[in-house]
Amino acid sequence: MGKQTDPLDTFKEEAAELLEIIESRLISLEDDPENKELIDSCFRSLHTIKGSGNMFDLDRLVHFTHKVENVFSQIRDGKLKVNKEIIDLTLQSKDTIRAFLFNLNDDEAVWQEAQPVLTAFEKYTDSEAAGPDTAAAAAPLPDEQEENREGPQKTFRIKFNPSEEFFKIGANPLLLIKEIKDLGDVLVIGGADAVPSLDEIDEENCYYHWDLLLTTKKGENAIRDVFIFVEDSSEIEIFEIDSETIGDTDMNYKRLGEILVDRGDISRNDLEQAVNSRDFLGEVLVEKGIVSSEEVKSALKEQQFVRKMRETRMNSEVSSTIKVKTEKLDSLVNLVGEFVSMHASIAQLSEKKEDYDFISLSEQMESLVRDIRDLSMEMHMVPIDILFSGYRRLVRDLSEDLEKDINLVLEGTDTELDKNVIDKLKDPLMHIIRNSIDHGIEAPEQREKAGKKKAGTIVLSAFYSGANVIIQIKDDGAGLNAERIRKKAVERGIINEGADLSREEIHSLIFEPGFSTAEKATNVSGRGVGMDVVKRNIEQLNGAVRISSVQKEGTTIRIRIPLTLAIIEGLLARIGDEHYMINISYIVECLDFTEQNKDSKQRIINYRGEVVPYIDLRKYFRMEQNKSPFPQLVIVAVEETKIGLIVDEIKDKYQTVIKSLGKLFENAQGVSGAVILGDGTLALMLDVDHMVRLTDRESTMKMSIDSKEQ
Amino acid sequence: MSFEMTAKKQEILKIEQDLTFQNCTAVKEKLLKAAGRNKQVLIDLSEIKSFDLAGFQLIYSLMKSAENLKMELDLWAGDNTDRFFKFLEYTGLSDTLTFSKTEV
Repeated sequence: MGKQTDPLDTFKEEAAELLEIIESRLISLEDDPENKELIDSCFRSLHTIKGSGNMFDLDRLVHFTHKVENVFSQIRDGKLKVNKEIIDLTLQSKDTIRAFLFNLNDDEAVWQEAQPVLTAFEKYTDSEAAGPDTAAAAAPLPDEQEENREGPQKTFRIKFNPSEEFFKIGANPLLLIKEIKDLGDVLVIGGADAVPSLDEIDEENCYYHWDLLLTTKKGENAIRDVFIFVEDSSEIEIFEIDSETIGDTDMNYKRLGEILVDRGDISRNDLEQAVNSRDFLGEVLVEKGIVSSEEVKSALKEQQFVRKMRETRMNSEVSSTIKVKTEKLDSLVNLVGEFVSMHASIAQLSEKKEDYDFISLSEQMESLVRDIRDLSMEMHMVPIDILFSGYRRLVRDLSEDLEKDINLVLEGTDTELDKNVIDKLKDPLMHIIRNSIDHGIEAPEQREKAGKKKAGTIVLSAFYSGANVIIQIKDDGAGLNAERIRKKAVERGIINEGADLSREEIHSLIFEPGFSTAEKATNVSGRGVGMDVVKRNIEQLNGAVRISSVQKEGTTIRIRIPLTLAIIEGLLARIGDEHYMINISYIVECLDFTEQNKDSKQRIINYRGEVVPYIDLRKYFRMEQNKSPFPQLVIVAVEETKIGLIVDEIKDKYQTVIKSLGKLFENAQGVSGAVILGDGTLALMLDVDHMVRLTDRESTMKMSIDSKEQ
Repeated sequence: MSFEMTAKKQEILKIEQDLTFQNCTAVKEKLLKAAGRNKQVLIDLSEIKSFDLAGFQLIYSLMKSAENLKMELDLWAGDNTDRFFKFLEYTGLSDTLTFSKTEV
């Protein structure tokens, strides 16, 4: 048995998720202030936080949330309109509620900080709607708690038959219908068969009656509470007619006759007699005067409604989800990683033993291992939207602080990435976006002078590229000033004055430690201590970052990140006496290496008619021994750039878990980690990105030398 | 409340006051008179500002009488048609009344 989860921790987690929803909805409301769904979503989230907070006696949090909820209640009722101040205040409130959540034992400071927000909200608070101004009153009453408690989804038939006096006592069925509608999905079937003709009617009497079909997770008590004040002036009968707990997988519900019997409209005897007729049951019963056509219509509507609800329920059951702590998922992925490694050992042993039964079992197991690996990986994937949408507020607030007009465009938000990768990308991306806002996008007047639109744009996009995800941050700002970067780099001793660097290499200097070209440091993007950390963090994720910029047009930062950190598929290669693993996602093709195709001086090779640079890994790693007479060529590609890697021998394909090299080897060039092989020996993970950068640099330098020679 | 005749000798009964519980008695009197005067009546509800369930119950009662008396009765709601339909749909009574689409 695992550890019991503390309900308070669960509340905190859920409330934090709801707060993120609130923030996202608020930012969307700025562009669409009348959007009812967004308003409802904010209201519901606040209501849930308040309700749950009350269960834990979090009085201050409940009181504060209640005040904000009130404002949204009034917006929902059309008494207030969303405006910028309300959005600003609610965003501040979101931060305050979050602060309450994470300072539950010492909330005095948060409470003091919350006071100006409460004061600012006062002018929007309708005293009637707000209710008594105490924390106790803000919290749901015991009955309300009961009413709010949710259970299994059930469908009720509510027969509501107001007395003839109903209108005269000032009661209004419309309000009751509205309250029932608030409890769930409702079909309202009104009946007017008892309304007399004009010469007989007492126009002040109520002759209508209703069948209300309600599908809800609230219990019967919640329904009874709606009618509590009209109990004496109406007949109310509540029948549970369907429930998700009955486990009925038949979408068809009951037949018309059964429904009519169930409703008491006909007897079973009537039904038996009517079903013998060849005509439609409903018509027969109406013709015989056993039921009214209104009763038949109502029963048919009930049949359709329950069918629809069952269908919706079954569809949602198919896609239903459960919450699992990420720590548990991490443990699962780690265990699967170990399992994968262990299977590799078994497979190796089976080959060694040459026992065909053993080999066959190992092969069957391999298929299972692959499925388990894929499934556990999938469970760890989340849409990048959860990362991206968090930056909407950052852009909004910072552009306001800096008096800039900036649009953030999000693209590819459904791209999925490992949850751990997403967590680790949060800060690097935030830093890049901050830099774009602070140093990239110009002030509106500068933009106008430059013939640009007043509002700048930052496009944050994500898309798949093989086993990687590319995240791109593109702005249409001033772009990087290569001359200024170069000058600064020389001043700071990062490069020599005569260093021969390509434009991209100069731009990449901004990733060097301590580099900053901003004329004045601001409190937004700091003092140039960030971009090197950004690069390092991304490299720690086995990713890479590249920058391209055109002065006056803008800057694009491109981050490539592996889909998952946990288990990779690699190709094991021998170089001299050592084994190296090459991540299979980079590999384009493996070929026999033939001397005829290469130009040793230029270190290029003819690969299917394409000129591709190559690296002889024996030379790179200075391996003298065990040279193969038939070396192999592995063509790898990073995005569009292809290179060839010459190895002595290609051994086999492996699924494996990458282990860190540790602090001692963190600066080792050309390798990015280690893997333990099936026989317990170690192989080093080849850093393909580094190899590609190496050939890039060499070709740039060569081009530069060639142009000088000319 | 006023009335006039259409080309097909249909009496138009325009209800200009609120169709609410408070006015039901007055409206009922007018409806009764109109029903007694002519076998072809068009009730014009297009000028109504406020309405409630009691008001619609009265109109439904008139429809029921018309059926019994073999009267030709039409309801005209003009710009109110959409409001009325939404209200009746909300209260599950949309099957009870039908509004004419013909221009008066």
